Amino acid sequence: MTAVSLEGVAKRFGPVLAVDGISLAIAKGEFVTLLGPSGCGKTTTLRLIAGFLRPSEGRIAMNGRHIESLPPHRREIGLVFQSFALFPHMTVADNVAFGLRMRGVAGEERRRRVGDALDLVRLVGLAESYPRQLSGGQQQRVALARALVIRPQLLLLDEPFGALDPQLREHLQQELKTLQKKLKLTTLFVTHDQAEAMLLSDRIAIMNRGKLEQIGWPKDIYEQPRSRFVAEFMGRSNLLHGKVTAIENGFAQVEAGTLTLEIPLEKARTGESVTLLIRPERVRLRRGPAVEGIGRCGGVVDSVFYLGSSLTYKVALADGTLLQATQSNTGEEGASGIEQGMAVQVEILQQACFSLKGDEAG
Amino acid sequence: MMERAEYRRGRLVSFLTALTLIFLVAPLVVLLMQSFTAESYLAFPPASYGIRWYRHIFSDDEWQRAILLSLGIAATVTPLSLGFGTAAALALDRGPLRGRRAFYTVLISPMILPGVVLGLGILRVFLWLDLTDRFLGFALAHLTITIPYAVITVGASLASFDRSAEEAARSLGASPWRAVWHVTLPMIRPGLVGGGIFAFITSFDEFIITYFLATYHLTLPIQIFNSLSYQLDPSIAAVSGLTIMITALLTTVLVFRGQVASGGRVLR
Repeated sequence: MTAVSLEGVAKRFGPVLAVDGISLAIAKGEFVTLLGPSGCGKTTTLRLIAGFLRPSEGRIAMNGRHIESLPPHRREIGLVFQSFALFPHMTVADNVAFGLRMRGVAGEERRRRVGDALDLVRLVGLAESYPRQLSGGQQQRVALARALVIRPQLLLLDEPFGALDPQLREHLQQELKTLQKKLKLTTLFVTHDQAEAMLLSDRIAIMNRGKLEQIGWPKDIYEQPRSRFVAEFMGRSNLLHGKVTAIENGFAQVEAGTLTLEIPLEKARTGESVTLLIRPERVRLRRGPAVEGIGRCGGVVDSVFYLGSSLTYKVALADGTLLQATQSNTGEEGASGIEQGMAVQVEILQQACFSLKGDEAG
Repeated sequence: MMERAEYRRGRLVSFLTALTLIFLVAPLVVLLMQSFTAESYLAFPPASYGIRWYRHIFSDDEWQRAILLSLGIAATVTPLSLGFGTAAALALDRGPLRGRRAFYTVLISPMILPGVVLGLGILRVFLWLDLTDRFLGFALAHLTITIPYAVITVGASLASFDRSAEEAARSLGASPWRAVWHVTLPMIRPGLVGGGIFAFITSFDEFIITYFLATYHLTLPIQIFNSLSYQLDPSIAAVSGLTIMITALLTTVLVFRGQVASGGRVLR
């Protein structure tokens, strides 16, 4: 059921290794996102799959057939760009019909399929308009219809919502997801926006410096990042360095400054150094005097950031560590009553901590 | 106070601009007015106006031949320059980076070389190839200076052209050639129109190189120059007027089309 597979794909530009041995399999109907900062090689990977670049090493296969030497126009891949890349000299209908025209689909069938595609993206009334007469969101829908009308084996999207304002972006993300599920489209999406990746993807592949750092379900990537890079890219996080002081039935006691935490750690040894990742939304703050204990300590609120739906606090612990904590803005006393300079109790839940492997903790 | 100083400076700039414009345009206006004289001698301002001399040059055999030859050469050279120029510009835009500058410099060097040098060189070669004083020779010689115009204007359009539209066409099933034909060329049309008009005007106006090659077959600029040396009747003014009008018309198209096209190209 693998639709697309990459095996050890690498791309070299002179001395620069832009893509460094990527292996990835996308199942039929799956939505996979390549996520990473700019320059991480995600767009190069997409261009390798689309056929605009040839891999220096490795193999790319679609439905079991190797395609590295196939030119782009024979790959049956639908492509949507951030810049939309519509043909400005053609009407919306002609833009959508282009792929059919190149395939020799004519007459009634062409008209019907163009109509269906425009129907799919709800643009039927604009068939005779020119791209410049459309809004950004409409243009992006035309680009999508144009890519879908050829019934591609794979849909590639390169930051397709990057040029749109946030509200419209959210709306189109929902639309894309609905459409992708309905048509069971095998989709590879490229973005640097982790929220967008989480919202849309069945699986996320995180790239950094040409390499795949981690691939998995959004939840796993967020909660069990395998490296510091992934942890920091997927959301704000506190990183604490500590030492294992005791191990008891699968739980390790870790001392990190003033904090003593108990976390599930397999294969830990007493005396070992570990780096702990703590998501700020899983750190609880309470007003009042501190009760010391496992996962608890006292601190002083250093700063408060009001974000509307949530509040983020920076809390200074006794040893000077600044810990970030996010509380949702429920309007309750406990959440909103905390102010700068206040002494608070910090509580870190057991399931809030994950350890990063020492060698990757950086 | 500031506003007043700025106002004064603005007045000064306007005044200088007007002066420059008058300096540039006045000779043309004088010539154009003289060309519409109804008298049989050149005078400014003419005593009476008419299109007598325009009628004359269109019925006169010599003038007619010169006009047709010049128009014919320009009409032949224009599409050829566009074809070769576009091909060269595409090669420069997409080809290997190495040697790109050198190739470009060689391509546009005929524009930079002094016309006399270029004309002499072409004459030497064309004498040997038996291409002097012939339509084919004139056209080939003109191509050496009109192709650079096409390379430059089309090249400029390609430089600002967003390749992703062409790539979208490729992904939709268009071969490289079809993608260029259906998407790239229509999208860089302002550059093509501009290059074509430049090529036409350059060929139509060309004097130096053609003068080296021409003996009996005379293009319009050469015919004007030659007739100056033995007569000074208003037919020269009429011919010059005709040249000015054709050039002005094409330039107007260029300016107008350039604006319309770039307005239509804005996507966001």
